[in-house]
Amino acid sequence: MISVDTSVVVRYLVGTPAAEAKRASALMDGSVEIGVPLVALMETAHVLRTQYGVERADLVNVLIELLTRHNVTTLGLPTSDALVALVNARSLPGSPIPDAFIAATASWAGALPLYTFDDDLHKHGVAVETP
Amino acid sequence: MTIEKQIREELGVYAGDQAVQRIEDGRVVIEFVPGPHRRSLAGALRSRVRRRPRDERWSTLRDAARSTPDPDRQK
Repeated sequence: MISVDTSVVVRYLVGTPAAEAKRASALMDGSVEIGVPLVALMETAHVLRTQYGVERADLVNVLIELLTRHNVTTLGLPTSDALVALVNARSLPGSPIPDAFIAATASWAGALPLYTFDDDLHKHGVAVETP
Repeated sequence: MTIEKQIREELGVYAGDQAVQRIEDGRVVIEFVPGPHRRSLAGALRSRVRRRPRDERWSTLRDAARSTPDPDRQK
């Protein structure tokens, strides 16, 4: 397995600049198994939202497609749990995508309850407490 | 638990799909994530880009993103 960072994923999904996007696509669309660090996945979401103006719903859907590609896996959280986070994010329009991953990671690790000052985190279906 | 064939067919649910469950208003909601695929996602967001950065050099994009708050945190 190899791994890729945010720049490769962004170029691959956006398709520009053409030369780098072509190289990114050759890598991503090949047969080698590719690990995407969870932080890179979150940074990809942030770059696409803030710099390219991609709508949240479109972003979540394409990230689900990315993680269901046969050769793509997440690093730092099992891919199946990352997909649960994205589906949960999709069901909560307007909620920050990283929140879904914070909840999914805490749940996967069995590190609950999740202590937070954020009143909205309970929406992600995990036990939360305030310190 | 088995989902009836008619419902599976109508929703396009196949063996290997991942079921994601949650509770909403006292009811179980099940969403299905399709199983592994080989479709290329090259340029998949090209038509979804609402603004094209003037400078797409990665260092510029990265720095701009790091100084821009998550729009979903602004609401």
